[in-house]
Amino acid sequence: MIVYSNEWLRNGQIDTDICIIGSGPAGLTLARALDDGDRRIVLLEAGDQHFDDKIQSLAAGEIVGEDPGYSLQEARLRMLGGTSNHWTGQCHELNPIDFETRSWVPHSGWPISASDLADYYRQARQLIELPMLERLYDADMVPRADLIDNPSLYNLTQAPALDMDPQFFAINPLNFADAAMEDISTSESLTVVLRAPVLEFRADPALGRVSRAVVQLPDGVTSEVHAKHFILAAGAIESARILLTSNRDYPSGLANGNDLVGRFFQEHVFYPLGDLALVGGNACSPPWSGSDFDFVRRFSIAEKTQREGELLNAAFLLHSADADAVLRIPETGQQMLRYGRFPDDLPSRFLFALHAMAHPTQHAYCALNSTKPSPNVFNVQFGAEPVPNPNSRVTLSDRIDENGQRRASLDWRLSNDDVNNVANTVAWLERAVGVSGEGRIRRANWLFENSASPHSGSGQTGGQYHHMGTLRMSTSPKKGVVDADCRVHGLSNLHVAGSAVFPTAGYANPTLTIVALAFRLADQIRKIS
Amino acid sequence: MSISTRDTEVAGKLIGRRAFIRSALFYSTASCAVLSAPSVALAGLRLSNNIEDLVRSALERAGISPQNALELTKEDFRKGRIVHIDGWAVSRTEATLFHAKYV
Repeated sequence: MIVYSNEWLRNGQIDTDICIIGSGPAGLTLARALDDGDRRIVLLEAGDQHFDDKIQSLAAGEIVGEDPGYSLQEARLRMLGGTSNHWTGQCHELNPIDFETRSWVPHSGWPISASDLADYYRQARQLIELPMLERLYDADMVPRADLIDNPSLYNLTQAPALDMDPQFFAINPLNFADAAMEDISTSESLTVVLRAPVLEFRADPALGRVSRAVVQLPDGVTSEVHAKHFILAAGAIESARILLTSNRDYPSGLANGNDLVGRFFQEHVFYPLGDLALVGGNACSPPWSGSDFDFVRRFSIAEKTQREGELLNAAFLLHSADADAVLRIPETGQQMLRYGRFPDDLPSRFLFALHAMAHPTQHAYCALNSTKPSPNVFNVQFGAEPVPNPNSRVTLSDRIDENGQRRASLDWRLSNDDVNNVANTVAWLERAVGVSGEGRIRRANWLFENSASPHSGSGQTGGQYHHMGTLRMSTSPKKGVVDADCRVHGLSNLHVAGSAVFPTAGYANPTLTIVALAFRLADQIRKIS
Repeated sequence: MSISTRDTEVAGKLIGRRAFIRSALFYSTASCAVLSAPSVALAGLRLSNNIEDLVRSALERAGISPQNALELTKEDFRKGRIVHIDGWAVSRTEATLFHAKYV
């Protein structure tokens, strides 16, 4: 059932078996997976069922490092379903190498492997209604056919010098709240409490356990939820913030004895790399297509190449036109209807859409000159995993929100390793494409300049809204906040769900891994509760 | 080795791929207009024919067969002998072939 905090929590404390904080993809997946009638589950959501400007303003915070191109208020959503209300739905598994400890990637290595997540990834694909991985890579499927339709591009990716792996990111921007609504409405053991922001945890240091979550009610008073198990699933920034504000029982913040809470913040960036001119083929084929699902195609650097060149895991996105800008037109309309206001980046969306109008011109030219080789230049974007950086972090700002809590402050930083990797990867790509004899690379101008940061240096103005790594996973409490089971080191009944636990981020969009980890965590909780 | 030029046409010749010039034209005009399509198409065809002639004559003057030029170019890339012209990464062989006449 769904209740409001001012009614349900008003009459004193609530006792439950499991308390989940946050109703995004991680929290809702966990709640549904654990809800088998044997346990009482309370899911606390700071927002309402629908978007509310006043509630959303509580997500505001400071940005003091790299400019991600968005405000914290815009990047996170305080409403049922969390950020699944505005995600693009691109999904792919992390690659096996992402989980490894690699000598050339500082602070790399997960305490679990890709095989530990394989079954959970399948569950995640099922939940998000995505084609299974093996079906997506079936030789007869549309994505591969689309690739083979462009023989020059196919030859290039398969050339020994490149040996690139096409990666098909299936797209389904599932709204997790809508998908869960029937389960929530009919459940007798799951209670979703709206307008219930958690201010802090209270803990018993002697027992090493969290005793309760303190919840702010709309009229200014507070209430408490007591539970046997707590799961923090409020997003990488907010989860870190809640642990840091929980400083009554632990002065430096809950689980922060080793000063790791909030550190290693990571975000994905796509750098404009330049152009790829192919010998032949046809760049007029649209990059997005599919018979019964949508997908986006990326090309990743083979593991062997990464090891030999000590490169970060990365993928290239090839645009034959600004088709994505066209696709954003309906999305923009949807957001305006949902939130009742224009998106903050409306001007840039408008300009991109205008630019995309040139696409029909290119098609017309190809059609008119069918006997001649088609224009075959792709714009290349490059997305590499960020290097985990302890100085890239979330802390508490001195600014106070309406609930009297210190706001989050984001100091996102990229390192010299990120800078060097861009240069090394571009150099490798230039050589490999040249050796293949299938084309040439043109570097973007910014790559000829010395930049302190590939992010600001490229003029790239946006992160990908992927917040990761602030409560990273490690077997050692000196290197991570949670253990391999996502349990907070030193606290027996507090777990973390979501991308906050990612030690490294790969280049894949994080949601599929978030959901897979949530299914895995549900199994762990089931064993101990 | 460094060659300085702003002439995108030269880069096109060095690359020796007709696709380059026509695509470059598209990208430079793409945001302007649907109306420009006919002129772009004509310019692209004209330039591509010129480039083909220029590549052939340059190879003949240098006494290099097209196949040998390709192998030399691949070897350059393999060994990292790369020159940037207008951002395009071309092989030293490609750059040398065209350097005398066009730069």
